[in-house]
Amino acid sequence: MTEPEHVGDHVPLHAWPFETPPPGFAARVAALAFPRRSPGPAWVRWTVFAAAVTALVAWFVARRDRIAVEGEVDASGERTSVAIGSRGVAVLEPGARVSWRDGRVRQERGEVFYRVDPVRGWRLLPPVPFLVETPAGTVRVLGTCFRVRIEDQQAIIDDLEGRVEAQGGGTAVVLTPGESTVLDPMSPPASQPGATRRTGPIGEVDERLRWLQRERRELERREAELRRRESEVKRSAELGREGAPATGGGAASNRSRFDLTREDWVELARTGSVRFCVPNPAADWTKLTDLGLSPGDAETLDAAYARSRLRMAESLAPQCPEFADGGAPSIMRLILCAQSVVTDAQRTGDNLFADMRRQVAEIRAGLRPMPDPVDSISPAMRVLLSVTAESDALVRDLEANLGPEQARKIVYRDRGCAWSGGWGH
Amino acid sequence: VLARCRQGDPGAFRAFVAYYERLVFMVISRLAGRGPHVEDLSQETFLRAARALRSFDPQGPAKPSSWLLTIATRLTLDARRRRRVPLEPFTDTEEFAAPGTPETERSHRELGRAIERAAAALPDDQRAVFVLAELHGLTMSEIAGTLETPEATVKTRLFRARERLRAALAPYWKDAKEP
Repeated sequence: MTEPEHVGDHVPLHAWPFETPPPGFAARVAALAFPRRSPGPAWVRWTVFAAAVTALVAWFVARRDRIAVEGEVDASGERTSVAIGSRGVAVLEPGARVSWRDGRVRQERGEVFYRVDPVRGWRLLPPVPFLVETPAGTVRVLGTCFRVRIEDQQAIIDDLEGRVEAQGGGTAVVLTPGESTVLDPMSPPASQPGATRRTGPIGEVDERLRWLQRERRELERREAELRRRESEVKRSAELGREGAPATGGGAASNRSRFDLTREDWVELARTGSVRFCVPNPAADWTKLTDLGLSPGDAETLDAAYARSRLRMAESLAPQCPEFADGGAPSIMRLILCAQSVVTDAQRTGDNLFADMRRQVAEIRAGLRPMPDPVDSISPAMRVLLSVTAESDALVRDLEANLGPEQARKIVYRDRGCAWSGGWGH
Repeated sequence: VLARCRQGDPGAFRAFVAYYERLVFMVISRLAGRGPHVEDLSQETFLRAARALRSFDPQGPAKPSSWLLTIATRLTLDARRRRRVPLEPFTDTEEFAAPGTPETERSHRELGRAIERAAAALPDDQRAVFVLAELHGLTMSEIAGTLETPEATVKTRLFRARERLRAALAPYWKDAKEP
């Protein structure tokens, strides 16, 4: 085999076309062959990136409550809510005004409710204290709900949740939930128990209850004042009676107000008044020993009270048409009849009835003679004469067996009257 | 430059590529025909060279150019076997569309196209041996090492390639120049 000649010796092979490198080919290939040196493996780069992000977030969280925020609000017409810093909310009642910078609040006037979220978790930097400055002092808080009300240069602090420290007058007091204090430039603060205040409908109910409690305390105070005055009046009256025992128209301290003497009736006649006690025959004599009696006295009492009821029936029944057919009406029916008669007389004319009262009082005082049974007197007059006479009649009936003192004690005992009262002044 | 390339100097490697890029483009174009795949294969050739720089001995028997030609040839033949690249010469219409071309230039291009068509008709192994031997001056042993083929086989392939090209390029065949 003869070796062929070189083709290139007979044909210009350089005419064989070929692709030429594009511009920048070398640089592009070099960049692909030797990319920029990375700081390390992918996991190292991601770890560094995650650490950087974590550090950034931690720094922001640490600085979050230190970011300078400031502003002011004047709640002139309506309740206003405003965020203070990153963890505070203030609700201003109408008329309140606050201004703040960072966590330092200046409350100049009005009532403001504060809610401050507590500082939680680990922090790179110490938290900024939340302070409320008032003309009377400063309130320092680290997470709580409280209310500050400024009145007459005083600041009333109500702690509703958490703890707050009220500073004023060179001293400080720590309030716990439900306590309150008053910051006064002239006196140091002191914690006082107060009602825990809540918001919303429950808070409104609480507020209403507090108002009722205040009203109750005021009424109790007034009641105590009135009792004090009453006791003073009674003491004065007793002193006066000791000096002039026959006057005044009232009973002595150990006497029933219906156990009337002649002098009492004189006084009542002067004022045109009468008082009476219709004895109660339906008495329970099981406790005779309490009245200083023996069981054997029960029969005497029963008989005397039976006679008393008969006397009442004889005098009152003729005044009542329903008893015209006779019989033995009960004491209560007699009393009802008497009340209706008197009521009719009062309706007829007040002056006429007043004259009746005065005449009856004068009769009982001995200033006027007892009218004759046949005299023409009104039913009301007869009722008044009957009811004002019976208790004394019963006393006289009992005196024979029990003595005057015991008789009066029994007749005018508590609940000893089936009907008692008076008319006039 | 090679020493700096071995140390990972991007600037030195860029100079290395700039120096040898024409060579690589040329051999790949002639082995696989022209087209966008030439640039891709050339880039891959240099990237493989970059990875193999540490194992290349500048003081050894292989020159850098031979080393790059070996990489480019193996890469191109492999791509051809995997049918990843075409080998279809451009048509005359595309190549000579521009009017007013000087006559000498025109004839030169016609010759080039003729060579291209003749080479494209060769089998890959014959064309590779021909290109490496005739255009890049590699010895038989170098070609045998490049193609991992016995030297005798290389000679046989070269012989057949020359015969076929002489026949194909007969219209352009000229007598050997006088020395």
